[in-house]
Amino acid sequence: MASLRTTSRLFAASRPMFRPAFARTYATVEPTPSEQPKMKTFKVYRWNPDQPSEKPQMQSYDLDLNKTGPMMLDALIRIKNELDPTLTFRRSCREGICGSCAMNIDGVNTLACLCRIPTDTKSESRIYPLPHTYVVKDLVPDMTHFYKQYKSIKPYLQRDTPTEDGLEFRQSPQDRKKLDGLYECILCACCSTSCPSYWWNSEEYLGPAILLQSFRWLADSRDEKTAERKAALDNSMSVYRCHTILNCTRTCPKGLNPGRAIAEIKKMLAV
Amino acid sequence: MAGSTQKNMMLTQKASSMFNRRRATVASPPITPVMGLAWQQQVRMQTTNPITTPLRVITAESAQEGLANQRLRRPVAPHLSIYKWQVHSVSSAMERNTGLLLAGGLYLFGTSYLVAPWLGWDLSSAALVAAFGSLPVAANVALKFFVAWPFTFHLFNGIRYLVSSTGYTLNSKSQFIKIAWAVVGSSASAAVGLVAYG
Repeated sequence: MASLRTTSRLFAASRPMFRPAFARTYATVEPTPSEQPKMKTFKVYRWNPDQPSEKPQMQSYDLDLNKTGPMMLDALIRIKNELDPTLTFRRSCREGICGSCAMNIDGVNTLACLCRIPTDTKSESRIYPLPHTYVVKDLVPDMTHFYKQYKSIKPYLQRDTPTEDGLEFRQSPQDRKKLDGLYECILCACCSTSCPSYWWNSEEYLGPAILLQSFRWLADSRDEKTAERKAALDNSMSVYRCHTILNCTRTCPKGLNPGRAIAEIKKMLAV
Repeated sequence: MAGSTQKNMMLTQKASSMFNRRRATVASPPITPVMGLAWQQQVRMQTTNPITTPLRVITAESAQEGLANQRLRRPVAPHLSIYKWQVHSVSSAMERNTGLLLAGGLYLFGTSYLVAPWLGWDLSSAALVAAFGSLPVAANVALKFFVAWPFTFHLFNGIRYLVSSTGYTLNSKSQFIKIAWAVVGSSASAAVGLVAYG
C-alpha cells in the first residue's frame, strides 16, 4: 500500500495530462491488472429524515475489494464517492482517535476505521448505526443524551486546596499509573450502545463509557471530591443496572476494560 | 440587530442574483436570510444530479418545527435483533431465564402439591417415580437433562458472577471469555453426571 502511494505520486507529477478529473482518495486503490475482481456485498442501514414515514431499510452495495482500501471506512467512503453520494455517516480522523465512525459492523460495535473488511467475499457485511440510538440519518446516531450523561458526572478535576508551592497539582508515578486504561477513552459510545442494560435503561443508567470516566475521576489522586462523586453514583440506577454482561469490554475498539472499572466502582461503593 | 439582518439579506440577494446570472435555468425563490446556504447547495447538486426533493424555504421558526417533527419520527436503531450473540451475553440472559425456569418450576410444583388432594391428583414420590419409570429411556434421559442443565448452569454461572464482582476475573477479555466457556462446559458435564448417577 505505502509503496503504491509513493510511486503513484511520483508518476502523477510526470503525467498531469492523464489524471482523472477528481483525484482518487485513499479509500480507492489502483488494482494490479492481473487480479480477478473480488466483489463483496455491503448491506447498509438507510433512513432518510426527509421521508420520515418510509421505514428504515437495508441497501446493498457491491465493491471490488481489489480497488478498495483495507478498512470498513474505506469501503463506506468509496460507496459515498463512487456509488451513492446520499449515504450519510460520520468520520474524521480515520485512525481510531476521534471516535466519529463508531457503528455496528457484522453484529459488533466498532470503529469503521479500525475494522478490517473480512476478506471472505461469499458472506455479505452488514452495517448498522450504533444499536438502540435515535437515528438522525443513515448511520448517524443522536448522541445528545450520551453527552448530557457525560456532563452530569462532572468530568474535570475538582479541588479546593491549592498546592503548597502554588505550582501544578502533582502526583506520584504510582498514582499516575492508576489512570492508565482509563484516560485513553475517546467516548465513541461503542461500549454503552452494546450494553443491553443501557438499551433498556439509558434514561437513568449511566452506561459503561460514562462509568469508566466516573472511575477515572474517582481514581485520580488529585481530585478532592471523591465522597461527592460516590454519593452521586450510590443509587439503584446509576451503576447497579450493570449485570456484568461484559459486551462493553468485548467490543471496546481501544482495548479498554469498562467492565472492570464498573466492578471497581461497585467495590468502592460497597466498602 | 435589524440593520444587520437587513444587510445579510442584501448580501444573500446579491450572491443569489450572481448565481442566477451564471445559471439562468435555476428559478429564483423568494429570498430569506436563512435559506441562502441550503439553496446554494441545491444549485450545486443540480450541476451533477437533477433535484429530487422539492425546494423548501427554511425560516428560523420552520427549522425548529421541522427538527421537532423529525425527532418525533426518528427510528430507534435495531439492537437485540442484530447484535452478535457472544458467550458472555448469552450466559447472562440464560442466568436470568434458568432462574425463572427453576423458581417457576418450584412454585408450580409446590402449588400443585398443595391443591393435589382437592383435585384428586397423586403427586407422592412413589407415584412420580413410577411415572418416570414408565417413560421410554430417551424421554427419561432428555427430561432429566433439561432440568439438570439449567440447575447446574445457574449454580456455576452464579458463582462466576459472585467472583467477578471482586474484579479478579475481569483482567482481560480473553480471560472472561475462557471462564464463561468453562462454565458452559463444566455445567453441561455436571448435568450429564447428574443424569447418569442422580
